[in-house]
Parts: sequence; C-alpha cells; structure tokens
Amino acid sequence: MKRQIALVEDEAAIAANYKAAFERLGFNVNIYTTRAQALDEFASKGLPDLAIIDVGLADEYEGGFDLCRQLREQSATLPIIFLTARDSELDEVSGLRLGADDYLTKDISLPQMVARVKALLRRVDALNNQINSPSDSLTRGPMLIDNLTMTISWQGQPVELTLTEFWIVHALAKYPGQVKSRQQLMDAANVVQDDNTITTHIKRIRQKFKSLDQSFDHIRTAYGMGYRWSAE
Amino acid sequence: MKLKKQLLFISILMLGLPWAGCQSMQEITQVLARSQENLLENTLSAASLVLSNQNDAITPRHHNTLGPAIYAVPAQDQIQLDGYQNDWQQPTPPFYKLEQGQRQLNIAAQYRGEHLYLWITTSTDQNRFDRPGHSEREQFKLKGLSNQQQISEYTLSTAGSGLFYFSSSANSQNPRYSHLGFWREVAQGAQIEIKLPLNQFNRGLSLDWQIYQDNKQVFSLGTQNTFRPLLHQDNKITQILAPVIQQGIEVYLVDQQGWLLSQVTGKRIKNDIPGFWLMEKIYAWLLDTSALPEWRPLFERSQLVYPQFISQFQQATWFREGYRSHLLMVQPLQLDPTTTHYLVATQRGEVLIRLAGSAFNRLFFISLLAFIFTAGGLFAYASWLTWRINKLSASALQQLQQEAEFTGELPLNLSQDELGSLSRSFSQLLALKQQQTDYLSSLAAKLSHEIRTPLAVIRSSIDNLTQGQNLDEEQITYIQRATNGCTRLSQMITAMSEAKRLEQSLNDFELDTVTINDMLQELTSAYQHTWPSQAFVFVDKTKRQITAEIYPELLVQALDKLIDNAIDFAEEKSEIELILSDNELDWQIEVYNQGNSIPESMARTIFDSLVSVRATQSDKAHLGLGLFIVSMIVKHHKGTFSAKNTRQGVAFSLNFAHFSRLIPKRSDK
Repeated sequence: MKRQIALVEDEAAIAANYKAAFERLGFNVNIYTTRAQALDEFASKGLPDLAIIDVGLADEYEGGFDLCRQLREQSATLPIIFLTARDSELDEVSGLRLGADDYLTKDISLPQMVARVKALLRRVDALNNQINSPSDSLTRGPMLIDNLTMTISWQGQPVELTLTEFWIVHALAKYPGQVKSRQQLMDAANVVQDDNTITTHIKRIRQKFKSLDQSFDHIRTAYGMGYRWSAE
Repeated sequence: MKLKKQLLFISILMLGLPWAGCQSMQEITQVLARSQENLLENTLSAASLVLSNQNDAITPRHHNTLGPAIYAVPAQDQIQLDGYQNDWQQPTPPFYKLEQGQRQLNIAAQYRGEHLYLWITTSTDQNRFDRPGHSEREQFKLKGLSNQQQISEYTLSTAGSGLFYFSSSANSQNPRYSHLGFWREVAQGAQIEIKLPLNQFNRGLSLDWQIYQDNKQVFSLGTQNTFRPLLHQDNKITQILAPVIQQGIEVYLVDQQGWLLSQVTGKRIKNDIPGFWLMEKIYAWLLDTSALPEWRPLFERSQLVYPQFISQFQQATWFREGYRSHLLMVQPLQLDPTTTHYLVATQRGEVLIRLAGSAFNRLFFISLLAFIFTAGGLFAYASWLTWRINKLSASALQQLQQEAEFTGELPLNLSQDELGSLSRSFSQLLALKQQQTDYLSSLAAKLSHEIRTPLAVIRSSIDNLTQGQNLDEEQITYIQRATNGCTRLSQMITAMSEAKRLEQSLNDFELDTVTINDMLQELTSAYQHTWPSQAFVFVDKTKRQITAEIYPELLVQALDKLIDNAIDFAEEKSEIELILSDNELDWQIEVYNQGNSIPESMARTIFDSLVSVRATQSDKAHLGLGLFIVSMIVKHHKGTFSAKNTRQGVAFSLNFAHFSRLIPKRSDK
C-alpha cells in the first residue's frame, strides 16, 4: 500500500513539483492549499503517513503552525515537516516547539527532502515494530543511539531531537575525537544552510542534553574548524 | 584657529575702547585748554577793569622821573644798620648800577613798613671821609620826590667808618630830623646802609656820588640830579585785585620795564594727578607738551625775565614743566596817557590736569575694567560655546560611528538657539541614516524570504527534470548550469538572511570564560589547516594571559568572517596576522593582511549592511554582510570595531573592555 503524504502548500508550482517527485518514488501525495481543507480531508479520510506543511497558508499568515498543533493533538507519532520560505530563528523555534520533526527552508533540494521523508517514515516503522526489529545501535558512554528509530537516550532517558539534530549527533558521536567541520555536519544532516545554522543546532543539542544532565560537555568546539565528540 | 582664540582676538579689539577714550580725552583736553585760556582772559579783563576803575590807587610815573627805575623789595626781617648786607638776603633786591671809569656805584632798596632802606656801595681806589685837613672828601646827594610832589634832599657824608647821622637839607640844623646810617669802609670802597621815610620817596629818587677836592667837585656819578622812579609792590593793588583772581591763577602787574608792581595769587589747587608712573606716562603722551617751550620763573630780582612777554598781548602762550603745562597771558593796562602797565597772568596746568586727569582716570579704569570683563566674558562664552559644540560633535560622531544605537536625541536638542537648531538637524539626519541602516538590515532578510519561493520552484523543477529521464549530454550541461545557478542563488539568500537569524539568536548564546591567547593560537592553527596555501601568524603582544568572559562561538564566527575577508584581499603568499594586544583598559584583536587598501571614506561604513568594496567578482556570493555580522557580534560584546590602512595592507580591529580580572601570563617553563 502506498504511503500517504499530505502536502499543505499554497504555492501551486512547488506543490506540483513535490507531488510529481514523491509520486515518482511511489508515494501517494495529496495537496491541500488551506488548513481547513486539509483538516476536513484528514477528518474524513484519516491522517496521512507524513505531512509536509508550509507555515504561511493562503490567507493565514501562520496557518501551518496551527495545523501542526492540531495534527500533533491527533497523533503523537505522525511525522511532520515544515517546508517554508521563512528561515528566521524564531519561526524555526516555534515550529519545532509545536512538535514538528524537522524545519526546512524551501531551497532544500528534492533529494535531501526525500531522504528526510524516507528517514522519518523508517523511524515510524521502526517505532511501530520495535520489538521485532534487529538492533542497530551505537553506545557512547551513557548515550545510546538507535539508528532504526533514530532516537537517542542519555543515561536511559530519551533526548527529544529533531531529525537534523539526530543526524548531527550521530555524525559527531560515530567517530569520537574527530573534528567535524560545519560543512561535514551539514552534509550529514542533509541541510544546506549557513555556518550559523549549525552553531544554532549545536547550541540546541547541548541544551537538550543539559536539560537531562547539567554536567554534559561532550560536544566540544574546535575553534575555527568545527565540533568533535569528546568521550571525556 | 579655534573659536576661543578667535574670540580672544576679537576681544583685543576692545582695547580700542581705552584708545578711543584717550582720543576723546585729547579732545576734551584741548577744549579745556581753550576754556582755560578764556578763563584767564576773562580774569585779566576783570582785573584790568577793576584797576581802571580805581586807578587812583596806582601811582603813575611822575613826568619828572626819567630812565631806569630803582626797585625796592619788601624786607622780610628787621634790618640792622650795620653796613652788612646779611639781613638783605631775602628777597634779593635788584641793584641799580652806575659806572664811570674805575668807579662804580650800586644802589639797592628795600622797604619795611613806613621806611625805606637803601644799600649803597661804591667801588673806588680809596675812601675820602670828610675830615678836617683833608683836601678830598666825598658825599652823596640824595633827593626824594613824594606823592605830593615835595622834594626832600639829604647829604650823606661822614668823618669815618661807622654810624653816622644825616638830615634833610631843610632841617640840617635840627637833630630831631636826623636820620641814621652806617658807613662801612671796605677794601674796594664803602658799603652804606641808610634808613629813610618811604613817603618822601614814593615817586622818585635821585642819588649822586660826589667827590670834592679843595671844595671843588671833581667827580660825580649818579642820577645826575634827575629822579629815578622808585618802584615797589603795592599792597593796595593786591587788595583790589584779590577778589577777581580765581583759584589757581596768578596775576602780576608790571610796568613797561617789567618791574613787578603787584602780584596776586589765587588759592592754590592742592589736587594733583596721581603719582602712578604709568598714568604719568599716559598723561605725558596724552597732553603731548613736548613741542612747548620750557617753563622758567617769570621774575628774577622782581623784573620779568623775558620782557618780550609783555608785547604778546592777549595771546595765550603755553609752557611745559614736565607733563604739566603753564598758561601765560598778558594784557596792557593804560592808566594814563603816558604810562602803560601790563597785567601778566599765569595759570598752572594742574587745573586742566585735575579736571582731565580725574575724568581720564575714571575713563581709563572703566574702559580697562570693561575690557577685562568683556574679554573674560567672551572667553567664558567661547569656552561654553566650544564645550557645547564639542559635545554635539562628539555625540554626533559617536552616533555616526554606530558605537551606540541612535536614540533619536542629541545634546542641545532642547536649546532654542542656533546650536539647538543644528542639533535638531543632526538628529533628523541621524534618524534618517538609522532608518536607512535599519531598512538595509531588513532588506536582506526580506529579499531572502521573497526569493526563496521562486528558487524552490526552479530547484524542484530541475530536480524533477533530472529524475528518471534520459537526458542527452547537452541537456545535462544546461541542467548542471541551472543547478549551479540555483546553488549560488541559494547561498546568496542564505547569506542574506544570516545576519537576521544571528541577530535573533544572539541572546541564546552563553558566556564563557576563555583565555584569548590560547583561543587565538588554536584558531591560527585551524585557519592554517583550512587554508594551507596561505600563511597565518599569531602575534601575541600582550605580557599576560587575557582571560575574558566572551561568547566564544560568536567571537570565532566574527573572526571567521574577518579571516574569510582577509584571504579574499590578501596578496598571494603573503602572511595574514592575528594580533592580540592589550592595555590597562581593553584588549584588542587585529586581523591584518597585505593588499589593497580600503577607501578612507569607507573606514566606518564598511561595517554597514550591504556595503562592499570588492571590485572583482568571484564564485562566492559577496553582499557586504560579513563585516556587518562582525559588527553585530562585537556590539553584542559591547566592544568597538574599526578598519584602517596600515603597513601596505588593511587591519581590522576588534576592541573589548576587560570584563574579568587579569591574571599573570602563564610561564612557558
């Protein structure tokens, strides 16, 4: 059965292009231009397997945020990706706080988008079939990285990371001590953004770990080069 | 020239005030001089009138008197008839001198009360006393003419040196009318001192020295039996003139020969100009008496020294005595058809000096005081003005340099004067600039947002085009070019929004205590590793470890931008220096590269949003936002930034205050 992707986008050309791309990969894509239209459809036909939402929708300046909140209320596991032209820090923080799994700007390439969609769907599958799946994990001290579910736990407690953040932590922790440049981290996280975005992601990742363990200091800055995972 | 100096120079013009005062005083002095002349002239006229009305009091010369006069001075002391002149010293009477061959006859006269004293000296080979048995004898025939035209006649002779008596010829037998004299024989002749009733000689005096041999007159020297006028000062005239003589004025009545007949001195003016040397110098200059003839006493032995004065009728003559001046005027006085007298009046310049001097003193000191106050006031005003202008200038400059966000207010904004107006104009200008800066700051983010959607359309279209299609080589080439274009465009819009995103996330960064020396050392190595073709040098000019509380991620990001910038502008194979220096107040990081200099006019604006000085194009997108981000980060650290051309290159400096305590530099041992 084809996976259902809901694309809530008021820009017809973009919606059509993404629809074509995903359908070529075997997905079934439904395009909605307004929040109300999308909610009506979800109410009658059920929730999709993944939702890609634009923040600004037709006459609603932040309709995407409202839709995300409403969808998260209906399902805690539905993968939600924001795809927007807005790249401000505030919008990104708002989107992620509402429970989105990722926040992407529209200049992302289709392959990068597809990689995320596939990864998120894999994570849903893995979460649904956790008991039966073979383990693919990585342990770094008190940190356990589950590559299938794309989840990380610290001292046994789950760390709420977005997909981009997971990929960054994974890239750093895979080879402890090795400095990863910002470009390398961007490649690993399938994003094309500026250096400051990586800095911001690192900052958020540290905050999330520190909320569980105040003494967390394993992501070290290599001035002028990038970051590295310190086992100490 | 600074404003203070300008106003100080202008205040010097105030010295024109005392100068004008001096000029004015010169005018006043001249006017006062004319007034003084008028006053003196009027005094003379009044005196002349008074005397003319009471001409009875003045004894005119008798028509029988001829030739030079014999002048009697008032005796100050009681005169002893002793043949010595020691009691005739003051005032020295003028001598009436006669000479014939080797023989001389001198006559001097004094009067005291009702008495006339004569001092007769002879100069001859020997004395010829009237002694029996001597064939030669000498005698003096003395005649007097009284006011009543009566003639008194006396013969003076004696048998030897000493007191002797003589009497009027009319009473020669009556000893009661005898008069006393003293005949003293001296080496050169005789000194005879006699006392006579003054009233018998009021009009004239005749004296003949006669030598007889065998009762025959062989020698005679004297007035030759003619009367000479006997002149002396007349107290009656003095009393008549006194009421009309004003303060400071002296009036003399003289006859045609210049003999002093009366003198009246008005009350003397005590006040004089202050003795301050500067003032005296100024007066001397002001009054300028150098061209005047020098003042000398008018009378010598009761006779005018310069008889020509009396020919200068009604003509004011000025004399100088130091810085003082004297005024002299003469007026003839015709008391009878034959006799002309003259009134000579003088007035010392003190009157003028006193009047002018006190006015001048006041004017001089007032104008000097005015100058001091005005100069002081102008200086204080200039200082205040300069202070205000400097304050406004410094504030405006600070706002222009963006070291502080423009709050919309400058000093003097509320002032109602021109500086207040200037300040308000500056405020408007700065507000406009701030608006423009803000607009440029937001423009990049807005553009980024607007371009991102069409870019997404293009990019997704290209991605679709390349997926699952058999493309020939030409199509692949074009698609590749379009993709590259999109990538550059994407980088561009990402860069455009970077500043905005950084601004939004600035407060999320955490402060950390970092040793700057170590951090820069580490960074230099990292940069060397990243750009192996370029040489990086860390120059540590500090003498201690700089430990500061900073936002390390942000500061490194700022340095990344500066290094990125330096690499683009550095000359090939040249060194890029990271220089750390410090002083008591702050520490500084400099990124220096050799290469093209930046225009001086852009030294500050180069840190503004969307400002770039790049002349060449490269593959990288350069929108002039890198240094803007640097400025944003440095401001977040409350530091300052600058760019300058130095050592054939450019140095970007970041200055930070010492936030934390300084610790001694770690030893290398």
